[in-house]
Parts: sequence; structure tokens; C-alpha cells
Amino acid sequence: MKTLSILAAALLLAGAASARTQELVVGSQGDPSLDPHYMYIGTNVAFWRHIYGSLTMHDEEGRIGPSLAESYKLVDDHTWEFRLRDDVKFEDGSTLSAEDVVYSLNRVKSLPGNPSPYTVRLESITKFEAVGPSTVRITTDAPNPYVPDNLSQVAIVPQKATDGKSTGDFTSEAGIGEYGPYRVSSFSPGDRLVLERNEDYWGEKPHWKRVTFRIMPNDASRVAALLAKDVDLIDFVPPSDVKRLLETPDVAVHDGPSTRMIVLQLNFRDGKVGALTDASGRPLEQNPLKDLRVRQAISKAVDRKAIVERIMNGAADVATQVAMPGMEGYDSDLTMEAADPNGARVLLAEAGYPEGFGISIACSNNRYPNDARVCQAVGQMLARAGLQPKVETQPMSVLLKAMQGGDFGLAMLGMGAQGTRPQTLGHIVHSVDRDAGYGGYNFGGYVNPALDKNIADAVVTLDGDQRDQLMREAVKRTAEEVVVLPLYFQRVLTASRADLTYTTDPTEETLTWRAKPASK
Amino acid sequence: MATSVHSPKPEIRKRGEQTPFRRFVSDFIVSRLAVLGLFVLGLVVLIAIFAPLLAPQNPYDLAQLDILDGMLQPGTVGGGGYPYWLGTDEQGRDMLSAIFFGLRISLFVGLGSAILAFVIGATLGLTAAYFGGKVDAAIMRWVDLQLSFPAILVALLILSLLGRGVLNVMLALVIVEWAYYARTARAAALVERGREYIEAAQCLALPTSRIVYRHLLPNCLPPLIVIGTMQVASAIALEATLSFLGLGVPVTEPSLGLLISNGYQFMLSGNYWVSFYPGVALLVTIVAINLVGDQLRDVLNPRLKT
Repeated sequence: MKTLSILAAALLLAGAASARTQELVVGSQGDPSLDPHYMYIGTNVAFWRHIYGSLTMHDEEGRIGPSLAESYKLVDDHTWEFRLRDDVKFEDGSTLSAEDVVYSLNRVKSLPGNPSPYTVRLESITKFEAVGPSTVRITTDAPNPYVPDNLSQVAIVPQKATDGKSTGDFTSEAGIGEYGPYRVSSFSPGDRLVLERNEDYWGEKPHWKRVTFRIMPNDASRVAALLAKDVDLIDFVPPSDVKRLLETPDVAVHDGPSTRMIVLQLNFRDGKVGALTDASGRPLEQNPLKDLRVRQAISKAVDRKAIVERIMNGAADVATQVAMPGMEGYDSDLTMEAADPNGARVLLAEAGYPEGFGISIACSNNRYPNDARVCQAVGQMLARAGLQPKVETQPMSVLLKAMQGGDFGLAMLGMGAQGTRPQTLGHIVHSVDRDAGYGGYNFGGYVNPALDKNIADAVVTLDGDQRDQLMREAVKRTAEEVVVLPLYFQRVLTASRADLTYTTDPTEETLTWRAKPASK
Repeated sequence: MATSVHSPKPEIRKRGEQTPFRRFVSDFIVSRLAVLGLFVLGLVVLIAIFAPLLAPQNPYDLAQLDILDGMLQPGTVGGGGYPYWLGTDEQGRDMLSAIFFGLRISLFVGLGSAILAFVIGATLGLTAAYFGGKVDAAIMRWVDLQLSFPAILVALLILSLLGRGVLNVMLALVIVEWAYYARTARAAALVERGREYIEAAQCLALPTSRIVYRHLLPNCLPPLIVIGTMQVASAIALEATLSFLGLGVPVTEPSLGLLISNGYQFMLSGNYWVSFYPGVALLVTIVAINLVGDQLRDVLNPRLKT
């Protein structure tokens, strides 16, 4: 009797173990929105990629390729045509049609009360129509080479299942009409999302039969949960804990490049700026940052290598320019000179500021990993070059308001890439033009018509090589004029059990099919 | 006339040890713990006052920090040639110096806000008690309203409107804490107001301000002093909490609370010293003030005396 029960227990354990090998538990920073068109933030995109799909998709290096659309092409300068796969099956047995795509894009535009809509990805698109059962035609108001890029970020949902459903319905019904690699098994907001593999999925079936996302917004809790083996994988590992995790034998850290760059914006406004003062704290008559030598001095003073090594614990790559390898406009000939505080002093003296001047550095303290620490370190470095920096850190929402008011000397921002296009160029370097969607973060008021033209020309150039050439010119000019101070590119940090491999995603999405058991 | 009134005084002093101050001191030293608290508190105050002379580094001067000296273990000798006895934080700030300077901020904010709140609260409390009626009702309902909100919530709200800064933190603490003094002052003054000496003063047609400040206030002082000591400790703790939450002092001029908050993230990585030592300093300071405050309460409260 006793042996029997031991045997039974052993069998049970074995069964549990095999089920365990088919299941992945993820400690996830983000709390999902199950409505794939609600709240455009990176973590939400990662969630809906598990249960829906998009016309195009990027690969592990960020290159865009076909997905729900088996092919796409330019018909003329203003028109893109997407041909859909015919094997994408929905829950009710019907297949994906051009009508579903048109319906989905319309839904993106009309979803009410959306604080961060996906419509930014439909920029310059004036019309989308079904021209056949599986052909969609998209018209833009100007030549737009980024349409395939942009549509990789927009979810396609089945019209029949989701027509008339509100964002709340998606949550209360725990997913509607899922047809991606997974279907929702259960969802409790703020706690966990459980997914079951979709055996009818059109693409390559993922390894894990069951995936559970446990929602853990607190960095330390995620790390603790992994160390306690409560979860198999965690995303957004805080850089300061990497060393500790690397020293733990049964934990592996997976890191890869991210397209998000941390950049310091400079203030170019005319006349007196409250944040730029003389030694006694009175605003200077003239904005010293308008002098190129001063900007070069500041750039020289900042030791990017020390920031990456000391503050980011190596979990970042020094930025040499506003683009990174693989992005449009990246120029491998551009380098970032080594920090040189004495050289900075000389330049400042040449520009007429031998005693330096007071400059405020405005940073967030809750948005990017180590943001406030990086800011302090920059302050330290400017002080060594003879400036009198004042470091002001505040929550992102407060900071943005202060930046809009233009009261800063330097201000920190994180800029990602839109597909392969460096966002910094259009958002910070280009002068403010709300209607055209330029200069949305150009709070320093930088205006350079030549650069504006350069950027505007580039984004409507359909020929890839020619576009890259124009972008390269813009990147180079930005560096020569020191319009911004690129600091570093973040790295995507993910950690897991040691017996898993994981390939990170440059857009910082956590995609569970990228996690696989390590082959022994 | 005048000489005859004053003449008995020296005699009384000669006769007994029973001047109020001596009685107070002899009552106070009954508790060894309170004496220890007073000693520690004195030490902390001296450190805070002479911090610039004692500290090997000025942690608020960014040019003196070296990021390459960041996160060094306690006892390591850094680029400056002097040992970091309590280690450094990630900016290369010497923790010992940072704690000395942090104590300065904590005590300045604690004492400063307590004194200001004392002045405002006592004045309003005495006014309410002396005049009674509508004035009393208005002031006391205001006090009630304010006491019904948690102090931390009110302080958070004020700081998110005003922004960071030592003076802003002090202002927030004054706004939060004056109500306690007002309440205590009113309660004490209500008792005293009915006494004969006040009636006598009123019969002499002394100006109201003189009655309130010279006659009423001194007799209401003991409970106010007790509340004051306790409030200094709670103001220091509240400042540390606000800084820990990222709303207090500027990051380049850390107080004890901000130092603890900075180091908190490194706890899992094993770099305990960034958080631990400022925490100990804060704990010792607050315990010392509370020990002194407890004994003051026992000595100054006649009801506790048998």
C-alpha cells in the first residue's frame, strides 16, 4: 500500500514535470490591454502579438517582412498594395479577408476615449480599401516608404467577432476572436493573463502549450520572483541587478540592443532663459547655447563611457550619433570623441565664458532606467568642466510640462525608432510643425531650414538607398551642429532560468516564442 | 516700594534648591535613558553644525565627486587619497560626508518647521481660546478639517504643486503640523483663561496682546514644549519619507531619506551600505529626540506626578 502511494506520487510528480516543460510563466512589467487597438505602448503590442497578428512583422534584427500579408508592393508613388495570406483561420472557421483589414484600420481611427491611439501609425494614409477578397490598397497623401513599417504595429482583428465590441468587452469576455499563436484562457487585470496555444494557428506553432503572464510592475518583485523560481522569465531587468543575477548559477541574463536612445536636448530659445544664469543666478542676457563652441564644450565634457559603465552597469551602448547600426542614416564613419574636461574649459573660454555659467539639467526620475542617476552624473561632469550645473529631477509628467515652458538648459528624453527611422530627427531636430507632425518634442526651439528640408525630403523618398543617403546627411549635420547630445542606446535586458534561451527584441517587446529550452 | 518687593527673592534662592529650573533638571536626570538621549542628540547637533569641517568631502559640490569612485566598499581608499569609511554611492559620494550633511538638512528642516509651526499654531490656538465664539469655531473647524487628512497626503499634494527644495519641504511640514500646536495651545489656554490672574490682568485693562503673550502663553508652554519635541522627530521622519518618495530635497543635495531611497535599489545586489548607514543615522536621531521628549512630557505634566 505504502509503495503504491509512493509510486502514485512519483507518477504525479513526473506528470507535473512534463506539463511544466510545456508551460512558461513570465514575470511581466506591463499590464495588458486585451483590446489590441487601445493604448499604444510597447508592452501592449507584445501582448496582442500573442493573440492577433499584423500585416507585416519585424524580425529579430528589426527588419520588416511579410506576416498576415504574404506580399506587398508599391503600385505608384502614393499607393501601396497588400496581398493577404489565404490560410489565416478564425475561431468560427472563416478566413481573413480584405474586409477584416479595412474594418480593423477603421476601428483604430474611431475607438473612443483612447489616451494613446495607434493612429500615429496611420500617418499620411488618406484611404484604405478592399480591391479584391484578399487585396488591400492603401493611399497616402505623399510618397510614404514607411507604410509597411507602420502597419507592423497595428493589430488586425476579425470583423465578425469584434464588430460593436467595446474595449471593456475585450476585458470582460477575456479576449474576443483571437486567432494568433495563442488564445486567452483567463485574464484578471493587475494579476495574470493565461494563454493556451492555438492549434489552428496559420504560422509556425510555438513551443509552449501554455503561457502565463504574471503582472509585476515593481522591478524588485520581478527579480525576487525569478530568484525564488516562481517565474521562468522576467522582462525589463533593472540594470543594477544584472551583476547579481549573473552571479546566480541557475539564472541566465539575455541582453540585446534596443532602439531607444537617451538624448539630452539643448535650449536654443532667444534672449534670456531662466535656466541659464551667471554666477549670481541672474539669467544671462544672451543664450550661451546658441554658440556652437559652447555646445561642443558641453558635449566634450560628458563622459559617455563612464555613464554606460558606472551608472548603467554596462547595460547600454555609447551613442556616436542619433542613429544606431541598422537604422536609416547610420554613418559608421562618425565617432564620439573621448571626454575631455580641459578641452571643454578651453572651448568655453574661447566662447567668452572662462568662468562657466549656471545651467539647469532637467530629467525624469521615473521613466527610463537610472534616469535621475544619469542626470546627476552629467551634472558632475559639467561641473568638472567649469560649469555650474543644477540638476532637477521630477516625474515625467511634470518634466514634460516644464519642458514645454522652455525653462531648461539641458533636458533628457528617450527616443526610439519608428521602424528603422531615427525618431530624434523628426521629433527634436526638425523645427516645430504640428500639422506635418514634426518637432513634437523640439522644446528647445531649434530651427535650421537646411536640416528641415533634409529630413522632409528623406521621409518621402521611396528609393531605399537614396533615402538612406539623405538621412545620413541629416544625421551628420545634426552631429556637426551639436543639435542634441546623444548619450547612449539602452539595451533590452531579460532574465530567465538558466536552461532557457531567449532572443531579445530591439523594440523591447517580450515575445514568448523567442524563449526556448536550451539544447543540451 | 520697589526695593521692598524685590528684596525677598535672593533669600528664597539661598534657602532652597527649589528654583523651577533646578527642580526640572533634577526631575529630568532621573531617567538615565533620557540623559543618554540628550547626550546623543547633542552629539548629532554638533556633527550637523560642524559638518563642513568634519566631513572629508563636500557631497553637495558636484565637482568634488568622481563617478569612477562609485559603489566602493566601506573602508576603500578612493581617488581623493582618503578612505571612504562607510563606502560610496553610485555617484562616488562619500557616505560618511553625505550622512553628516544629511543630518544638517534633517535637523534644519525638523527644527525649522517645528519652530515655525509652533509660532503659527500657538498664536492661532491662543487666539481661539481667548476670544472664543465665532473666532474659536472658525479656527478649530479649520484645524479639524486639516487633521482629518493624513499628514503625508497633504504634504505630497503641497510638494507636487510647489516642486522640490528644502524650503518647500519646510513649508509643507509647517502647513501640515501647525494644527497640532493650535489644538494643544487652545486646550491649555481654555483652562488658564478662567484663572484669577487672567481676570486680574483684564481688570487692569492691559492690552489683549500683552495678556495673551505675557500671561496666558507662558502658562501654556509646558504641553506645547512636549508636543514640539515630538513634532521635531515626526517632521524629520516625514521629510525622510517625502525624500524617499522622490518629492523632497533635490537629488544633488540628498538628505537622509533620499540617501536611503538611493541605496534601496542596490539592496538586492548586495551593496547594503548605501541604504544602511543613513538609515542607522536617521534611527539614532529620532530615537534620541523621542527619549528626550518622553522624559520632558513626564517632567512637565503635573498629572503624571504623584
